Order: sequence, then C-alpha cells, then structure tokens
Amino acid sequence: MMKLRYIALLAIALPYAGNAGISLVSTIDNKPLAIPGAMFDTPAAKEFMSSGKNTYLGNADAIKTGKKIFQMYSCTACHGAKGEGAVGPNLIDDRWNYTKNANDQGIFETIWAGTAGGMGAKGAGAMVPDDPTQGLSPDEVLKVVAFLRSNAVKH
Amino acid sequence: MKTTTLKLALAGVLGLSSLSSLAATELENLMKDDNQWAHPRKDYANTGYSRLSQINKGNVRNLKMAWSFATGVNRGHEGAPLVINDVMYVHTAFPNNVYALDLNDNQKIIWSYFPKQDPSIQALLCCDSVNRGLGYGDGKIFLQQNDGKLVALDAKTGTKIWDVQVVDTKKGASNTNAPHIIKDKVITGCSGGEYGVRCYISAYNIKDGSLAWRAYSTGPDSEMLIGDGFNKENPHYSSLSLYEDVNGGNKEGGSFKALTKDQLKFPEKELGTRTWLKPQAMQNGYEHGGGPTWGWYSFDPALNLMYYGTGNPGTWNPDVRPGDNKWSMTIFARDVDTGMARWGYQLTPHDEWDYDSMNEIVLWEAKGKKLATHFDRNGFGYTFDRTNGTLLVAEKMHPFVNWASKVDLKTGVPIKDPKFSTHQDYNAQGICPSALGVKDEQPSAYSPKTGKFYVPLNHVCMTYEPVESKYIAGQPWVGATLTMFAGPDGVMGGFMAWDGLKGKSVWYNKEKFSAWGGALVTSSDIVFYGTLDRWFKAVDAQTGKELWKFQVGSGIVGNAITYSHKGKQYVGVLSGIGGWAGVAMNLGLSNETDGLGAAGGYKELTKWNAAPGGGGMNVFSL
Ligand code: HEC
Repeated sequence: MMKLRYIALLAIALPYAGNAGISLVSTIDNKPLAIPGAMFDTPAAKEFMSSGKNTYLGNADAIKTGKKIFQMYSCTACHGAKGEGAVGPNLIDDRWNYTKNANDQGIFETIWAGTAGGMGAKGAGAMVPDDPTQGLSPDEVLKVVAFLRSNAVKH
Repeated sequence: MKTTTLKLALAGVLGLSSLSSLAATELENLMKDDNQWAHPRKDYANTGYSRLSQINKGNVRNLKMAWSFATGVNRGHEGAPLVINDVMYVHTAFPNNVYALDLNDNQKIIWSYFPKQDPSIQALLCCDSVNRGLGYGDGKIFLQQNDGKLVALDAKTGTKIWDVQVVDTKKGASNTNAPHIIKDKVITGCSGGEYGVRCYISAYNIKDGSLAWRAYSTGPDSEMLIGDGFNKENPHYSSLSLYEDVNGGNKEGGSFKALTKDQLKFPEKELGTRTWLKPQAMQNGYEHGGGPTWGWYSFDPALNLMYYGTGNPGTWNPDVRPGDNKWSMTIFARDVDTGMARWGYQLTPHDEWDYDSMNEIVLWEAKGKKLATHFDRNGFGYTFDRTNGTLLVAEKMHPFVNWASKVDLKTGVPIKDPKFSTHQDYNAQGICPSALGVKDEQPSAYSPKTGKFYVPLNHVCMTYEPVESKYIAGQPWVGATLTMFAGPDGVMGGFMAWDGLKGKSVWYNKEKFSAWGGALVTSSDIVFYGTLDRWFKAVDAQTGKELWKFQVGSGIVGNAITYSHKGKQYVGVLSGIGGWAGVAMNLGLSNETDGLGAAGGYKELTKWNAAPGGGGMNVFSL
C-alpha cells in the first residue's frame, strides 16, 4: 500500500513534457541518459517513453518473459530467483537503496545504467560499452520490472 | 635476527640471482619461528598450527582483550593479518586497504596503503567484496587487490615496488585470494567461476613481478602445463569419461552412472578440451569453463610441489556442458619452479551443485607417509599420498551428504544418487550439502601433536534449479537459482575434529550458524575459531569442550592466528561479517520472504549483527 501511494505522489511531482516524452537520467550521476529513440520500438516502450508508464505491469505474458530475462542475465545470481535478495539487495520489498526505484521510471534508469555501489549497467549499449548488441532492450527492461513488481511483498 | 643480517650481507656479495633463494629462506625461517605469523596459514603445509603454549587449558579462561583495531571498512573480513618482527599487517575488504601496525608502540600506524579501485569492480564479486589477506617475502608485503592488480609494497615503508595485472576484469575476472609466497615466487589465483572466466593460477617472480609461469584450469594440455609423467601412478585419473548417461543424462529425469575401473579408458590426453562435449552452451565450452583458483595454496619443499584446488565449471546449469568438464573441481600438484602438473584428481566430475574444490589442502605425515588432506565442498574428507595423488581415504564428513553414496576408491569416482541430479527448469529438492559446501574457504587446522584436523563446517541443504543464461563477456553467467535451509541437525553449522587416516570425526559440535572462520590449533591443545553470531571461542582439542569465549563487534569470517610479542602470547582474529555467509546481512535483507539463497537460512543473523558488518582486528592475551 505504502508503495502505491508513493508512486502516485511521484507521478504528480514529475514534470512531464507532454508529447516530448520523459527524460531519463542516470542513477549514478543524474546526467541525462542518451538512449536512441529507435530503441523504443514496441508499443509498451513507446508508451513508456512518452508517459513514463509501464503498461506491462500485471500482464501475465510479459511477467513470464520478464522472469526468463531475469534468469538469462543472471540477475538471479545477485538478487535471488524472485528478486528477494542474495548478494544484491531485495528488489521486491519497500526498502530501496535508491528511493526512486519505487517508481517505474526510476527503476528503469537504475537497471539501464547501473549504480556506483555494485550494480552494473544492463541496458543495450550501456552494459558492454564496446558492444552495443549486448544488453537489455527498453522493452525487456519493462518486462523485467513487471516481473519484479508482480513478486512485490506488501508491508 | 643474526642469521638474517648475515644472509643479507652475503646476498650483497653474491649478487641478485642468489638473493631470491636466500630471501625465501628468510620467509622459511619466519615460518618456523612461532613468535611470527608470516604466511597466510602460518606455514607452507597450511596447518594453522603454532607451538606457542603460554595460553593453556589451565589459564585460557583468563584471556582478555588486549587491543582492537577498527578497519573503517564494512563487509566480509576473511583471512588474517600477518605478524612479522613486531609489525602487524592488516588488510580489509574492498577497497583492500593495508595498515602496518607497530606492536612496539601501542599499535601505532607505521604506514598505510589505500588502493584506488574502480567501484564497479564490486559488481564482479559474486559473493561479497572479501579479500583473504596478504603475503610476505623478500622484505615485501604483497596485496592481491579485488581488481586483479598484484602489488608489492616495501614492508618497512609501504612504498610500492612493483605491480602487475593478474586477471582481466573486462572478462569478469577478479581476485579474492591471499598471495602466497613460495620460494622466490608469488603465487596468486583467479575468481570468476560465475562469470564464465577461464581461470588460471599464476607464479610471478618476487623480485620484479615478471610472470614465471601460468597454468589454466581448462583447455589444451600445453596451456594447462600438463605433460609427460602427469598422473603416472594413477593414470585412471586421466580418463575421458567417468560416467555413462542414464535416461539421456543431461535432461530432466536423466542421471549418471559411475563406470567401474575396467570400463574406464585411460590414460587420455587433452582432457581439458575433450571433456567439454558438444553440444555446449558455448562453441568451445572450456573457453568459458571457470575453474577458479582462489583458495589457500600449500607447498612441500622436499618434493618441490605446490597443491591447490580449482572451482566450479561455468555455468551452474550442468545440462549445457555435457562431459566431465576437466579440470574444474580438481586438486593439482605442480612443480613450483616450472608449473608443470605432477598429478591432478577431479573430485566432482560434471558438477551439478557448485561444489568447488578450492578449499585448502593440508600437508602432514603419518606412518612414514607423506599425506595431503582436503575437506571438499562436496562433503567428503579426502586423504591422498601427496607424492603421487593416490587416493587413500574419501569419507563423508557428516551423514547428511546425499548427492553421492560414496567415492569408489579404485577409480576415485563419486557414485552419484540420481535423485539429486539437477537439470534445466527442474527444481531439484533436498540436496545436501548446499552450494556453500560442508565446508567452504574457511580453512581447517592440523595439529601434529594430536594428529587430528580441526574443521569449521556448514550444515545447510538446498534446492537447485538450473536455468538458461546468456554468456556475455564481463557479465555474470550463473545459470541456476538456489534456495538454502538448515540441514537435518536443525542448525546451520558445526565444528569437528577429524581423523585423516580413518576418515572419521573424533568429536563434533553443532553450531547455530555456519562456522565461517578459519581454525587455529596450538601445542597446548587449544583450538580457536570464530562464529557468525560474534563469538570468538577456545575449545579443547581433545574433546571439543568450550574453554573460553568472547563476543566481538561483528560476525567472524576471518581466521584465528597467534603470535608473541616481548615474550607474551597473543591470539587474534578479524571480525566483520560478510562473504557468502554474510551477504544476507550486508545487504540489509530482513523480510520474512528473504527465505532464499544464503539469505534464507541465515535470516536470524540480523538479530546478532548490525549491517553491514564493520571490520576490526581483535587481539587477546592473558
Ligand atoms: C553482480 C551482482 C548483480 C547482478 C548480476 C545484478 N545486480 Fe542489481 N544490484 C546489485 C547490487 C550490489 C546492488 C546495490 C547497488 C547499490 O546500492 O548501489 C544492485 C541494485 C539493483 C537495483 C536497485 C535496488 C535498490 O535497492 O535501489 C535494481 C533495481 C537492480 N539491482 C536490478 C537488477 C536487474 C534487473 C539485474 C539483471 C538484469 C541485476 N540487478 C543484476 C548487484 C547485482
């Protein structure tokens, strides 16, 4: 419940620029993230870029794919099978190292470009700087987030 | 002191080439001097044994804290400081700071060294940002940084003399081991079994950091330094295939039946490539085959052989790497001058559970035999003839070990129980031990006086579900999800005395949590070790009876040591919870549902430790 209220608050506070879309910033240094617009190539990714909304939340197919991706990229190794935490922090409770991760834009930014405290960048082009073919597409990040949110434990 | 000065003077006369061998002698003398603790496990044989006996069973209850030193660094403080000529050298977890403390002047800091490491390196450390300590030799302190850099510092001033990059962090490799000085070489390992790194062990020349030799854990014989005479006395260790597939082998419902000795074909060559059968997840599986080497290395000067173990094959999903996956999960004996392998024995062929074999190999003698004993993650305690690798004893360390019924001594092959075979997208239940092993890196100690080993233990079981995962250079490549829970004893740890000839425990104490601190045993028959719920304990080597304990600031994952200063005996241990055992703690896991991975079983640790655990050195005396 806590989390829902939080998201609602943030949604009001964020300065949306209408059709111009949202602007993404790095969790490491708050600098703008340069992600080529062409990468937002699915309806869900396009919607996210314009409104900051993750339309995959609650979508069973997306959640299933999100789980696969979470395993494929060994997120499980550090965060546990469901995101419950292991060597990396819990991703499904309401305690965050970076409070913005409670919100779908914030968690997208963290997964895409990483943190300064042990979380590597996972977005395509950010993960392996000299090999842009590696890493998650925006659409895949949204699916992973849908998977994580589906496992969220309320307090 | 006199002999040292004389030797140094002589070395000046004889020139550089002979200095190196004399320098090694200086370290060997320090190892023999019980006032010092000059090598990670005190001596070449990895015994963790000291003849100091001022602290005895009669007075140990009077032990009091003499002094402590907060390292200012959080998370896992594994390993132990070195004590050399009245100076204690203390290391920390990431960023691997080093302090030289003057024992003659109230532990005042003589010098300190603060490596500059990229914070992103922490993302490469699968199991917390630990560092297992320093090495000493030739007047230098050696630090193996997490970022792969091996640094030689002037022991007197802390000035950097040379450094060298040991592993490639871009490929996901890192380092956590202590550098071990053996003769005129600095031996150091490789971490990255969870990143698809093709690991190796390296020997650098102590003088200038030039590479003397490097031996890979997988791949062609030439790159593994395997040549003529390898496994001469036990050619069956070099068999192409140790199992036959049952029900299709590498798929749900499949398993592996051990072959008998007359069914094996040996000796074979190039097993480091040929036991990675197609189809693999990768073109040539061995190229990302893992085999990390981050343990404690021992050395027999008479045989000129060093001993170490290799870790898991990449990835944890066994179905995508059919074959025995040599030489992961192997104990190697190598000539320390050339690196050439004398023998190699694979403990867990075609691993399905992450049972790394990098735990310490302790060298000892009994009945006129030169022996080596190793307590493997897979739950068996092994004793070998260390001259040639002949397996003499392989027994379960605790009856809860269930993945194999026994090890066939004729072949050395474990008889796997099909019930606990793991396969992709199938969640195998009730496997004991867990991937943490019956014992992990926390080293055991051996007393030549009692003839027994003192072994810190985990008592944790697991579920294990291999999953598909993608190899990307520099990224984790794990391929399984695990959950862990307390074993049938209802606790998560233990500590035992072990008879290495009989392969039996002599006494066994349960511990609430994994005993993840390394053991020390003294000639007064006292064993010291630390626990995750912050106790530093002394127990009777004969009976296991608790003689003394003291609660320190954070859980202990470091190794107990002893030394003397101005005629007085001290015992000490690093505290600072972390490592694989403490990850739950350090990352602030606290939910009821944090029931998975190492977090689950250890959840109650949060009631005993602040997170993240702060590092400190704790020193005690009468
Ligand atoms: C090598 C271990 C590792 C892997 C693999 C990893 N992470 Fe992380 N992750 C971490 C660590 C450590 C942190 C904490 C970073 C910090 O505090 O700066 C973290 C933090 C995070 C956070 C922010 C948590 C918070 O409390 O604010 C998210 C979200 C996250 N990871 C998602 C992922 C996803 C999705 C993947 C896979 C695509 C992944 N991680 C893979 C180690 C890892």
